Amino acid sequence: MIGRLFSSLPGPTYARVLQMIVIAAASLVLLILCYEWLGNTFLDTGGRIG
Amino acid sequence: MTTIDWKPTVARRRVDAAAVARFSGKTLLGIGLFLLGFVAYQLFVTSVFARRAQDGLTAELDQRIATVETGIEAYTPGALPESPIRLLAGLSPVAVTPDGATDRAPGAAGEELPGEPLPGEGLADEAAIVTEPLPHAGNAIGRILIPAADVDWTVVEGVGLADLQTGAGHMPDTALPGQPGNAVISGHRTTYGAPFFHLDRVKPGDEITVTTATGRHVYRVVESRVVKPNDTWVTGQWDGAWLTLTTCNPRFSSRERLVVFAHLIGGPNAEAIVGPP
Repeated sequence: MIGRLFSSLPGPTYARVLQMIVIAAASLVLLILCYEWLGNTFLDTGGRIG
Repeated sequence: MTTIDWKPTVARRRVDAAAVARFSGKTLLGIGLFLLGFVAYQLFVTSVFARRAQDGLTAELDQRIATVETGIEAYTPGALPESPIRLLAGLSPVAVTPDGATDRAPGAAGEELPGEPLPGEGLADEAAIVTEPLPHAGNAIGRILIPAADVDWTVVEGVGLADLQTGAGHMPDTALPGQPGNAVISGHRTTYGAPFFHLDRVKPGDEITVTTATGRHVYRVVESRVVKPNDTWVTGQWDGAWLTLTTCNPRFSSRERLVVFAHLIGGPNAEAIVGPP
């Protein structure tokens, strides 16, 4: 899947690598935001009252 | 006579079954990796964040204690309502289990429960107490030590998501530790270093120490109980000097809150607020 994504990106190789880095960073941020939301909602709110 | 060509149908079925198996396998693998990452992030990565933040907060607290100007104010006993925990103290100890959950303040129905006398009776009409300026949100305000629960954390002002990611948080608009009223401190039970992971080990009689700019304040645990997340009566301001600790309950769930109530027994303001030892 990553190989197919890389092949589908436009531009020369170095531009594709850069685009892949941006996509990976954005995916990681989204993943962490998702983990944070799940954790704060279901796992541990920090014990706040109210 | 006609013949039935069955081979292509069987082959297609085999291909379909293989594709479904491949898709299912990949999906389950993806879900597994997602959940594995979630557990690793929540239990380990967030703890690293919290420990790093604690290093900065500890240095900040040392600076606050060294530089902040404390003041002297008059304290008049009886200005705040009676604590419902006073009534609780007369009850048999409540086990820290979901059976102990309650959705109302103890004594709210008006029942008179036999209460063990707590400090605070026979005080002078007015006394002097040491005070400190209100801290800004996100700043370190004190250090909490609970030997019975392996707690040694710097407390930050505020109970927002960002505040509690750095350690235990003092709820704004509640008394500061060591001051008259009810100081409420909340903390994570599972994530971000889990400051209150072992809070269920705390039993009545255990001591809690909170060091702030005004000095070292010693509290004695009176009661532990499990309440609902919206049981706001536990954060009420009461006569005397109280410390209320709150965290999620049970572990790995935010379904309920485990609450520990303690009252001041020692420190620079103890004699003025709760009477001589």
